Amino acid sequence: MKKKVFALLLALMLAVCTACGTDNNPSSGSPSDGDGSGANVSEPNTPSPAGDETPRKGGDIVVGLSYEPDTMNVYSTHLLGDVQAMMVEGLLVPNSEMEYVPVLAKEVPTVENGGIVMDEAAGTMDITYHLRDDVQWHCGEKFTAADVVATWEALCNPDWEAESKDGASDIDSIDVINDYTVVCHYNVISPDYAQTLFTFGIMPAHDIVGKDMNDPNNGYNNAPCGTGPFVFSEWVSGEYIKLTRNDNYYGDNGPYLDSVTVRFVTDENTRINMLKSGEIDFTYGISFANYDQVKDLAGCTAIVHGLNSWRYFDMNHNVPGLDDVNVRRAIACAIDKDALVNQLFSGIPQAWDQPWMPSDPFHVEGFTSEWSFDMDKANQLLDDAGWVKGSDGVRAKDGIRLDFTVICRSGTATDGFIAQVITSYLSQIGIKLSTEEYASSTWSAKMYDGDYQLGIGGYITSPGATRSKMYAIGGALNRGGWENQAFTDLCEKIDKELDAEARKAQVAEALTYFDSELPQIVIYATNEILVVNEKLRGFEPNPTNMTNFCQSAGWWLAE
Amino acid sequence: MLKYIIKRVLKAIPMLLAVSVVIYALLQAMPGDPIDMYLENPSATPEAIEAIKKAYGLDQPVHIQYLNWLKGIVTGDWGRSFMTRRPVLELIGEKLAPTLQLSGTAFLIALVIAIPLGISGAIHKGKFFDNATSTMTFLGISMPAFWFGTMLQLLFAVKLEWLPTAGRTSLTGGGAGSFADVLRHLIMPAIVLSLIYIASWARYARSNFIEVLNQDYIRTARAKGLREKTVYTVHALRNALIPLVTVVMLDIPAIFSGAVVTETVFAWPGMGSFFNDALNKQDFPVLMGILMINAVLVIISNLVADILYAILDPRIKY
Repeated sequence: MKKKVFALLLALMLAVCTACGTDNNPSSGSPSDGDGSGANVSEPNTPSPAGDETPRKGGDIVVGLSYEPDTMNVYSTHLLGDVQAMMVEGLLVPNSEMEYVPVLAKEVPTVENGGIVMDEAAGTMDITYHLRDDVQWHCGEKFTAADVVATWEALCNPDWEAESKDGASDIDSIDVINDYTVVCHYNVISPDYAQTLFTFGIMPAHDIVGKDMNDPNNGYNNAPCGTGPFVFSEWVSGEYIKLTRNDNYYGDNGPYLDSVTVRFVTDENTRINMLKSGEIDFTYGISFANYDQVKDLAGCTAIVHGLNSWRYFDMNHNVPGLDDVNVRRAIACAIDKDALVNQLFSGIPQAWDQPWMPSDPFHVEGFTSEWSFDMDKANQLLDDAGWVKGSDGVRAKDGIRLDFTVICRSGTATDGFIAQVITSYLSQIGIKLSTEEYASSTWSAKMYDGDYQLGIGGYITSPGATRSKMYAIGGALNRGGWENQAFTDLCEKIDKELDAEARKAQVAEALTYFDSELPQIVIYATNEILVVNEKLRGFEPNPTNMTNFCQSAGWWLAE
Repeated sequence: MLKYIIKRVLKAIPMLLAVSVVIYALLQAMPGDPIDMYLENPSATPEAIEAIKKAYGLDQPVHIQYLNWLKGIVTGDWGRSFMTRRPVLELIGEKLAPTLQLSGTAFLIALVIAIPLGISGAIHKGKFFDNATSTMTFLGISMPAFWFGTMLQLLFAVKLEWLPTAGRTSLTGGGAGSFADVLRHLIMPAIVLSLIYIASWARYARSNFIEVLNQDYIRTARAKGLREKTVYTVHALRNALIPLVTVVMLDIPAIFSGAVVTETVFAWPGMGSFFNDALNKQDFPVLMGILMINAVLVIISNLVADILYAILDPRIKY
C-alpha cells in the first residue's frame, strides 16, 4: 500500500517536471551577434497583400495584453492606447519607419505641398488639413471637419481632466473652410505638431459635444465610436475587450479579420503558457530573459524590433558630487554598456549613446560618446578632479563623498539588474552606490519631484526631434536640473525648424552638448519582443507610442 | 447574547474610525504623489496634471482630504478611482463576484478536506498516513503559489490540454460564459488557493486534536469503555474545533480581499489583483475602500468567532 502511494506521488511529480521541462524550449545561443553592437532585429513577418499571398477575410485573433485599459478615451488614458488604436484614428499616424502617414487626412501637410504656411516674423504657422470625404463613424454618421474642431475644443476645455493635452494650446483657432478642409492657426511654429493632437485620435462631435468628458460612464469613454478598422463590441471588466470588423471601413486594404479580442493577462509566464496552448495569438512585452522560451515556439513567430524608447541612468545635478561634470563623465566611462546588454539581456537591446533612437530618423549616425567604456580614463578623470580615495575605497573631496543612492522601480527585474551591474562598475572607480526600489508611482513621483540622487528608468516617445521637455532648462521632465543654455537654445531652434535636414544638423550639435555634460547616460535603445501567430500577415511592428495596433486594418490570417 | 452583540457592534464604530485614520495616514506617508507619475508621459502637460490633482482634491491639505473622504463614505460616496475615474463602490462590486467565486470555492474545498485530514493525522499519529499528510501539508505551505500555478498550467493546459490556462470564461464557443465553462476555468486556481488553506488548517486541526486526545476527560471516556469513534466524535471533536474556529474565521476576510498571486497567475479578475494594481498606482480611494471593507470583515469575523465559542463550549458565556 505504502509503495503504491509513493509510486503515485512520484508519478505525479514526474508528470509535473516533464511538463515544465519539455515546454521550456531550452536553447543555446542568444540573439546577439556577439559584437555588442546590438541585437539581431528580426525581420517582421509582413508579406504585403500585394505579395505572393492574397489576403483573405475571416479569422479571429486573441491578443494577450499585460494590463487592462483604464478608459477607452485616448486623451484621458494613463496607459498606452493599444486597444484604442484599432478603433480610433487620427488625421496622421507614425508608421513602422516613424514617418507620419495620412489616415483621416488626405496627405501629410508640409511646406512643400502648401499644407503648412509659416509666418516666421510672428513665430506662427497655419496648417491646412484636407480630410478624406469617404469616412464614416462606426455609428454611421459622416466624418467631417466639425469632428476635428470638436476634438480640439474638448481638449482646450480646462474642465476635462485629460492627461494628454499636449499641443492643444498651441492652436488659437480653427477655420472650417468646408466639410473636408480645416485650417489650424498655430500660435507657435511647431514641427512636431503631430505628436499628440489629432494623431492620438479624432473624436466624433455628435458623441462628445455637450457631454461631460470626465464622466466614466459617458459612452465615448467606455465604448468609443471611432472610424478605425475595428468596432467596439464588448468590454468584460477584468477579462477582455472584443472588437469586430468595421465592414464600412473606407480603406482599400482591409480590414480582414472578423474580430480581435484583447484578453488581460498580467503575468508574463501565463501569457507564454497561453501562447503555447494556442489560447492567444499575439502578445508583446516579453522580457529579455524569456526570449529563449518564445523564439522557437511552435506556431508562432517571435519578432524583436526597435522602439523609440531608451533606458537611462539619470543623475541629479543638484546633488553635491553629481554637479561635477568630471564625476558624471567618469561614471559614463566606467559603464561597459556592451557587456551589460550582452550579459544581462542576451544582447537583445542595443547599447546606445544618444537620446535619439536608431529607429528615429533624427538620430546621429555613427555617433559614439566621448565617454565610452574606459575604466582607466574614468579613474584618471576623478584623480585629476581631486576626488581622492579614502580608507574605505570611496572617493571624497571637500567633505563630499561619492556615495549615492540609485532608485529604480520594483517589480521590473530589468532595472534592478542594471543597478546591480552599475554598482559593481562604479565600485571600481571609488564610487559607492546603494539601490532603493520603489513602487512605480512612488518612483515616478520621487523622480519628478527631484527627490533622488541617481535614477534608472525609461522613456517611450512620439516620433520627432524635440527633447526640450526632457533636457532643456525648465523642461517638465528635466528632473535633474541640468542647465545648459546653449543646449536649450538649440532645443528652441529644433522645436521651430521645419526643414528636416536643418533639424538633423541642430540635433547633431545639441548632441555634442549633451555628451559633453551628460545630464543623463543613455544605457541602451530598447528593443521589444513580441510574439505573433505565424499565420498572421500584414503586421508591422510600430516603434512609437502609437503602439503596434495603430495600423491593424491590413492584418489577415493565412490559411 | 443580544446585549453582548450590540455592545460589540457599538464598540466597533470608534475602532473603525481609528483604523481609517491609521490607514489614511499610512497611505499618505507613502512617498510620492499618485498623479505626478502621469508626468512621465511626454504628451502630458503640467497644467493638465495640476487640473487632475485639483479635480481629485489632492491640492487640499491631508486632513481636509481625509474629512472629505470620511464624509463621502458615510453618505455612500466612496470616491472615484484615480486610474479609471469610476466610482470605487462600482469597481469593488465588479470584482467581488469573481473573488467570492474563487476564494469561496477554495475555502469550501479546504474546509471539507483540511479538518478530516488533520483529525485523521492526529488519530493515526506517527503512522504512515500521518507522515504522508504532514509531508503534503508541509509542501503545501512551502510551495509558492505562482510556481505551483504555473506547473499546473503547463501540465493541464499546455501538455494535456484538459483545462484553459487562465481567465474566467472562454472567449468563443457555444458554452462560453456558462456555468460549466466558468467551472473549468475555476479548477486550477481553486486548487492552488485551497492548497494554502488546506496545508495550514490541517496542521492546526491535527495539533489541536492531538492536544485534546491527551486530556484527562478523554482518558476517562476511554476508561468508561466508550468506543473510539464515540470518543473522537462526541468528546474530542467539539473541543478540538474551538481554536480552529479562530483561525478559520480570521481567514474569512481573505475571501473578500482575494488572493493576489493566484488571481494574477490565472488572470482571474478579482479583488486580489485589483488591490495589487491599486497599490502599485497609489490609487488611494480604491485602497481605502478595500481596506475599510476588510477592517469591517475582520471585526465581524471576530464577533462571529466569539459567538461560535459560546455555541461550541457551554462554559463560555457573554
